[in-house]
Parts: sequence; structure tokens; C-alpha cells
Amino acid sequence: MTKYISALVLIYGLLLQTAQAESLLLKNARIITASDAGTLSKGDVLITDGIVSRVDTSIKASGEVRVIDYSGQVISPGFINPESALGIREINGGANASESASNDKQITAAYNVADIINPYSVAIPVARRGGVTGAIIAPSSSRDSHYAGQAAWFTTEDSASPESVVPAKAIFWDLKAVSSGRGATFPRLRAELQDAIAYANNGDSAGPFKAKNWSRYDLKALAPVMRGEIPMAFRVNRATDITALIKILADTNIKAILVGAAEGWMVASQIAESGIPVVADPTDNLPSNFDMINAANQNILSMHEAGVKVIIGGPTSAHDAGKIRYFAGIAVGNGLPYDEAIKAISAIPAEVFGLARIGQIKQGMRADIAVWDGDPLEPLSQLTALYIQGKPQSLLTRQDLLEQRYINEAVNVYRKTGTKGE
Amino acid sequence: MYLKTMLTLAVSLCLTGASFANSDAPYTASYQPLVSEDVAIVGATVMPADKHEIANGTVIIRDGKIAAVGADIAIPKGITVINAEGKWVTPGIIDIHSHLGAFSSPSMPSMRNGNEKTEKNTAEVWVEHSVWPQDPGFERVREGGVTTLNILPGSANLFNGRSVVLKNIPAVRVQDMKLPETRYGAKLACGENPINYAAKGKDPFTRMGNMKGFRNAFIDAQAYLDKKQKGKVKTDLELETIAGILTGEITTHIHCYRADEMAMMIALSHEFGFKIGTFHHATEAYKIADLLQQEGIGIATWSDRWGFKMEAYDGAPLNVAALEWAGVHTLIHSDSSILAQRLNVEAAKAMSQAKRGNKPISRQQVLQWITLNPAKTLGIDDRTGSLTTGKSADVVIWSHDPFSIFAKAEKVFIDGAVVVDLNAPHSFTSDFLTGQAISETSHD
Repeated sequence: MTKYISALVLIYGLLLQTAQAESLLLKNARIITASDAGTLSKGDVLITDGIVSRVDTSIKASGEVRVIDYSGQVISPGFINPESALGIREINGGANASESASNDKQITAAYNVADIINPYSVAIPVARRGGVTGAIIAPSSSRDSHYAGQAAWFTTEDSASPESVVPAKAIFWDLKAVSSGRGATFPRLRAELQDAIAYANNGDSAGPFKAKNWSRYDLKALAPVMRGEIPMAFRVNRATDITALIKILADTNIKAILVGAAEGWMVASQIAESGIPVVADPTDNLPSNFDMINAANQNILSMHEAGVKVIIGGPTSAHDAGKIRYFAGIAVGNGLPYDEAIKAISAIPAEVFGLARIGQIKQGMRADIAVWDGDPLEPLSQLTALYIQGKPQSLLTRQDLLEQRYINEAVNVYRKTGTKGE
Repeated sequence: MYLKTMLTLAVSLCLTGASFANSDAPYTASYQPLVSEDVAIVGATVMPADKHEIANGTVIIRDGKIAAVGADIAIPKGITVINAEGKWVTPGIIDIHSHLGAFSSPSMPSMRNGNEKTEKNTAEVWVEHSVWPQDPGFERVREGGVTTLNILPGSANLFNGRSVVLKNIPAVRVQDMKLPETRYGAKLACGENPINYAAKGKDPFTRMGNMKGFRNAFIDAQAYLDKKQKGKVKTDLELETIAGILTGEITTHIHCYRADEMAMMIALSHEFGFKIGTFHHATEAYKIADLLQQEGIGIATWSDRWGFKMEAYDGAPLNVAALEWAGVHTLIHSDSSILAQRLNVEAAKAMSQAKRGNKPISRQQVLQWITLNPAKTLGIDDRTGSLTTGKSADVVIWSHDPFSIFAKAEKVFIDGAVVVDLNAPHSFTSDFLTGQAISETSHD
């Protein structure tokens, strides 16, 4: 027992040690920038004060800079999971292990995950091991409302600070949360948006409201959506639902995102024309319900080819957050160009959700960077190092500790913080 | 004690002539191979699963069987040659834990036919009586290279019912997918599921209640066997299945996550003198790998699923490798119509984790997790599971290394018949998807 306690103390000590950002020069790696610069077959990244200050084929070290040679390795941006329960659902079931949805009828759109994200969740280091440095933490459907609530941007850093969570980056809405029937859902949505727009424009002097007896919490939360300041993410799959939404949203300033869109390929040109980006799961290829009878492997490729901005999602469970790289790989297997798949889990979600200065390896961007021993989308590749704001991150998981208790062959490669085997 | 019980049971079986596991009667397994053409697949990296990989290898398929596998094989005259240069060839994948056709897509309430959870013990149900061959999941999984499926009932009660082994061909009747001369399996479940089910007012309510339910059922089955030995008794479907477990004619597939609960089930098997076949899910198997090895129990699990419920909280990605290292009969399963489409990737993920160990695991061993090892568990390794002369030509041609996320099954053969061809998509669309927009837009 003492052995384990001292191991924990050691880990904590190492975590504290790495708290200050130093200048770093990462050398000789293949660099997938996810920017217009594409991929450098061999290059260097200079990090100053947690920011990428230069990316080039060869950078000379000058001044006080730690040089790390990543010859033969691959550098990618830290990946972004666009819809996750990381930090809000430790386990399904009771005992306060899950806090992902509202049970309060007065607080639906206003349900705020930012205050409840647990940075000590043991799922977070596992997500880091998948190269995930950022996630949109999205509430799941509440029982009584289509509005699931406000999603937050969470940075998966090992030494969580108040800055790790940025609240209200989007509001999620769920078509199937309430079984009122589409014929009722859409007229009501239209009326609700009119009410919310009136409130956004006129505040408490707005009204009387048409759609329902609103709670002020919800109207306040929706106001920035109505002004186009933050996006509203609509969970829909059926082609007709997508076109109905496009029609309803056309008269508004709402920046919409479609989440799911399993039948998006059937109305790809309409989506493209609307300019609405999509979060799609490349494993959606079965008619698991009648909203997605035509779920198809070619969905993401068809939407991309039609000009739709596609973000790759799918692993929404907290425990699967780090699997986003495989989902990008599956999309490539279905024909999406490789560079697009990388952008679909880095640059594009950053842009669509307004996550400032992340998602690309480019001068001026935050140094959220993953280092791999091979192609980051391949299961045979493993993460070797992860930097967030230029700080090397602990890659040790609770799973590692369990493995080391029971498996003789388990080598302690992630024992120390920072780069593997350091 | 164990031996003695087994002997008594074996004798009693001979006396009564009871047959608990004959899959041919009364719901006849009438699988017949589809029409096939003789072909030679040439130029590929051949991964036979029971031998080392062969660069630039040849696989000859004749009369639906593997006729030859190797590097220097003469191509018979007149045979169709498939140039698979730059591609990979493996045996067809076997999913040891599938619910296809039982929990079908679309998942209407009326299509949830996978678990007769009306009582804690429903050993009397046979999942084959639920299977809907038009489940679109069959074709999606076929496109992932899965040629054989072990369909299991769901796990919300203690005894869930009997399993069935299917060849993954398009068919109208489940009997036409059902492989003859296989050993029946019985699915049992320990842990959270039976307890959660019982929250609706029935027992078991606790884990000790689970054990009581198991023990009482085996006591009844022993008495049933004794009665049978003494004379004629009215056939009891429930006890037939459990008695079959006791005689060893029916193998067990036990849904169990935690190490302590697997150990408890092992103790149960010692009490009643039966041998556990396979623990499924078994996310904590790494904690008792040596015990599992000594008991000769197989483990069917995922590469890296964990945490989705309390009993899976200690799941760890080195689980599969730890079992292989300990000499446990190791299998990777899906339990999902989505995961089953990429069991090759699941195997690759587990192999990749093994890089954190100080003992290598070969690509051949990894391929066996999803081919030869499940074939052995199902007792069909004389017929499938590897690219071996004389076995069924269950074969996949992959676009990439099958351990790559980019790999697509370009051609899939079942008993030599082409059932998937990426150049001719939707050739075997289920009735359900026929005429839907997804099928209408195909380029064939």
C-alpha cells in the first residue's frame, strides 16, 4: 500500500515540476500542420511561451531553448473531440457518477456543464493518450426539452486551471429528446426562436412570448445564439429534418451546426448551400432507427465533395474520447482525403466552435501538439509525447497503474511525465 | 470429485442416449455453400493464421475449399486468376459474440428479440428462434470480412439461452445459415445485468442472489439427469440446456466483467463439476490471467472498451496482451454490429498496446484472436479459421494490411463463393434495405 502512495506522491511531484513553460525546439519530425502549409516531411517546431513561434524545415536553436529530437516521429496538432462527456460522466449509473443532463424543467438551454466538469476524472489522461488536447463537453438530452444545454470547451491539461474550461461555446438541441412529433416540433421551434430573438434584441421588455412560458435562465442562455455569437448544435439525422431546419434557420442570424446528419449525403448540396457545418460519425452506416434508414459509408465523403464543412465525431462517451483519431481513420478508409480527415479533428472543429488559436501547427497558434511513433490515425501507432500550451503533459493513466500491479510484462513506459521513456 | 461427477454423467448419458447438443435436430441446420468458382488468388501477402505470413503468396480455391496455400504453387490450367498484388489475404473473421438478427436494425421494440428476460432463468430459449436473416447488420459485418458468427442471446438474466453458429450468407431462413455439426453453447451472465433486471421486483437482487440462482439451477439439473438415468421423464427445455452444460455437451459463454466474479463462477463450476468454456467481456481478466490459464478457460474481450459501467471501470488496454502472455486462449469479440465491422482493427489496437510490454506478440497470434481461436472455441477449427488445405474457403482479400485502419475487405469468400465484392456493391442487399434510397443510389 505504501508503495502505491509513494508512487502517487512521485507522480504529483513530477506534475508540479513541469508547470512552467520553457522554450522548446522540436526537431526532425514529420509535421502534419493541419494548416494551408500541409505536411512537412521533415521539419522543426519552435515553441516560445506556450505558443508556436515558428514552423520550418530547419530552425537553428538560439538562446535558452530545450531541443528535442523527434527523428522518425510524427507531429500533429492535438486533436479535438467535438462532442464528449469527458469530465461529466465518470460511469453510467448512480452514486453521482454522471451529471450530463438536466432534470430541471426551468433550466434546459441554460444547463451549464462548465461548472461541473471534473478535471480529476480518470478518463481524462486516457483521452490525452489518444492525442486529444481539447473537447467540446456537450450535455446529453434532458428529459423534458429539446434543449440539452450549454457546451463548454475543455482543455485536457494535466494541471487543470480555471482557464481549462471555457463556458458556453455552443448550445445543443436534440430533435428526438421529446416525442411530441415532428409536426409539432418544428412549428414550436420556429416560434421559440422568434421568442428568443425578441429577448436577445429587447431583453426583459420583450414579450409577450408566443411559444411557451419561458424561464429567464433559458432565454438568457439563448441570447448569444440568436445574435450569432455562439453556434447552436442541432442533433438530427434524417434528411427531411435537415432540410426543415435549414428552412427555419434561414431567416435568423443563428450559426447552426448539424450533429449526426447520418442522411446528410442525400441533401448534401442543400447543406453546402446553407453553409452549415456538420459533425458526423463515420461509423454510422446501419439503419438503427427510421431517422437513419439511409445511413451510409459514403456520407462524409459525399458531404465533403458537395462542399460541406465536415467535423468528425462519434466517440462521445467519456471513456472513448481518445478514439477520435480512429474515427478520422475510418473516414479516410471510406474515401475522405487524409489531410481533410486530420483537419476534421483539429482545424475545422476549432474554427466552427470558435476555439481561439488551436487546431493547427502554425505561427501564433497555441502549442497543443501531439507526437507519435507513426501515422496518428493508425492503431499500430502510439503517442510518445503531448504538449499543451507548450508544456509536456503527463501520459500516465489509472489503467497503467492497474496494469503494473497485475501484469509482469507491463513495462512502465509512461512512468514519468513528459515524453515517453524520458 | 470433479472427475467422478463427470464420469457418472458420461455413463448416464450413454445409458439414456440423451443428446443435448445435436444442432441438426429438430431445427435442422441446412447450410449449403453458395455456388462458387474455382480461383487462384496470386501476388498477395498471405496470412494463413496457422503459419507464418507468405510474401507474394498464392491461395487456390477449388470446390469451395482451400486447395493450396504457399509461395510456389503452380496455377492449375483454366482457373480464374485474381491478381491481388499489393493486397493482403486472411481467413474469414469469426465473431464469437454477436447479437445480429436477434437485436436487429432498426431497433424497434418488436425487433428486440435477443433476451427473454422474463425470468432469471431462461435457459430454455434458443436464440436461433429469434434470428431475423434480413437484419442489415449481417451485410455490413460481411463487408468487414466476418464470415462466421456465434449468435448469443442477451445478458439481462442468469441463464440467457442457447447460442447458434451461423455462416454469414444471405438467406431467407436462419436454418440455411446454421452450420451443421457444431456444439451448442449456453449463455450465462453474472454481475450487474441480472441484478439491474431484477430491480423490477424479481430476484436476484444482489450478487449473492445471482449465485443462489445459479446453484439452485444446477442442483435441479443434476436431479433431472438422475431421473433421466432411471427412466423416462418429461422433457424440460430449461433443464435440458443446463444438464447439457453438466455433461459437457454444451459449452458455456459466460458474460462476466470482474476478476472476483469470474473466480466465483470458477468455484461454481467446481461445485457442480462442469468446465467453463469462455468468459466474455472479462475486462478484469488480466488480474487472474494465471488462474484462467490453469483452468483452461478462454477469454473473449475487446481491445480497449472500459468504464461504461461500474463493473467495467478497471478495464485496461493491456488486457488482451496480458492473456496472450499468460497462455490463455484469447479471442477478440464485438458484441456490436458496429465494432464487428472492424474486428481486424480491434485486434490491431490490442497488438499495438502490447508494444508497452517486454514480450513480443506476433502478427500470427494477433490474427488468431479473430480467426483460429474462435474457431477452436466453437469446435469448427477442422473446417474454418485458417487458410489450410482442405478447410472451407472462407477468405478475405484486403486493400491494405488488415491491421491498418484504412483496410477494406475488397472481396470476401464464404465456402469459395464471393459474398462481398467492392467493385459490385449491394450485390447481396437485405430485403429490408432493398428499394430504400441507400440501395437505389448504388453504382451497379
